[in-house]
Amino acid sequence: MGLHQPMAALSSVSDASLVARCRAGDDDAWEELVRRFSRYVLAIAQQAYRLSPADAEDVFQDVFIRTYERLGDLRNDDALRPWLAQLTRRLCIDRIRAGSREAADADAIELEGTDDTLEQLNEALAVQEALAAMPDACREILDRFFRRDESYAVIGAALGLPSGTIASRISRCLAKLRSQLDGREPASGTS
Amino acid sequence: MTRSREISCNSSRALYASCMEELLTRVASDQRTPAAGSAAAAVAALAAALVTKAARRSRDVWPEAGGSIAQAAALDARLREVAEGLEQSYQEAIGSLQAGDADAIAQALPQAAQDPLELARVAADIGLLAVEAAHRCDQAHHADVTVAAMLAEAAARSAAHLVDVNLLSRTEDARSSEARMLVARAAEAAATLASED
Repeated sequence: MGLHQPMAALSSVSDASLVARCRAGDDDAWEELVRRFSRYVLAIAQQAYRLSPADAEDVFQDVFIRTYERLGDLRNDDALRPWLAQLTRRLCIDRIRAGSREAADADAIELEGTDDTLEQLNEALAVQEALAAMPDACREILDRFFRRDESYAVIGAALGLPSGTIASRISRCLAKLRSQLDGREPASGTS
Repeated sequence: MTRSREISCNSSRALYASCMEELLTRVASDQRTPAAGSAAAAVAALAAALVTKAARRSRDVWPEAGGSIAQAAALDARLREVAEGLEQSYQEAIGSLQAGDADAIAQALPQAAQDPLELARVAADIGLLAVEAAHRCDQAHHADVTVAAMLAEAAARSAAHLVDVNLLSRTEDARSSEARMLVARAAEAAATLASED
């Protein structure tokens, strides 16, 4: 397998494989790593630590520069996401501390609800990853209903399906998504 | 303090998101809003809640009940947005009509029709979701989802009426046509389920 695997193929590799490719100097893998976790890092900075867009952008840059420099320190390649989360948290706290007149310890800077927000972000990322692994038909119907807020009639017209069958199809796809999240394969098909 | 008073009612939120006691008080008040649109949205929300109840109580016999619960929650979230839009667009339309400002009227009335049309869309979908639930849930709750479909029909029909009223009865308008189609769909769902009870 060559180093320059297409980005579309890289999007489906595991975090651990991605880390290994980055360590081997694969530029495309680095690009995929940033793409995969950029929204996550920005969300931690803006939602969990309520940084301004400018400060969040600075943290974003710092996180990926340090990741580039210190990826070798990562002991478990499967733990890339929590490692990035911890690095982002620390840099957010540094940014807040730098902006305040009095030095504050990290515990004091941890905002109320930060852990809950991080947990929600982790769940959202897990759902996003599970969705990416779903069959196209399921991914599209879930996206149309839950993200685009389309009605059953609009979905049915777009997909050439009777509107009366859309609710049951969504339920089956959600069951499959749940199975993906639980780490086991569903017992039956999706549509 | 009565028991119902102990429930926190957040008056800063849309009527739909308020508790039932506040909902009734505010609808019955001498204020212009909330009015018919918000009341219809609340009826649709009750329909979604009944579907959720039937699904929650049917997990033993319906492995995909969670899917209907999630869809009911998504439709409920849409209703909350619609309810806020309904109050705002209705107030703006009334304001422009009272001011006699032709330009403002031309701008406000289409939105005042669009919001109830969106309510009719969501209500019709709740009716369809009720049919799905009725056929899969514990049949002890079939009547619950039948009533859910009936409430959804009532909400869709009410919303369609508001579409016509806010379009100043321009019934050839595409929004009126769509609203009538949505009412027919909701009515069919309710009739189907009623015939099964």
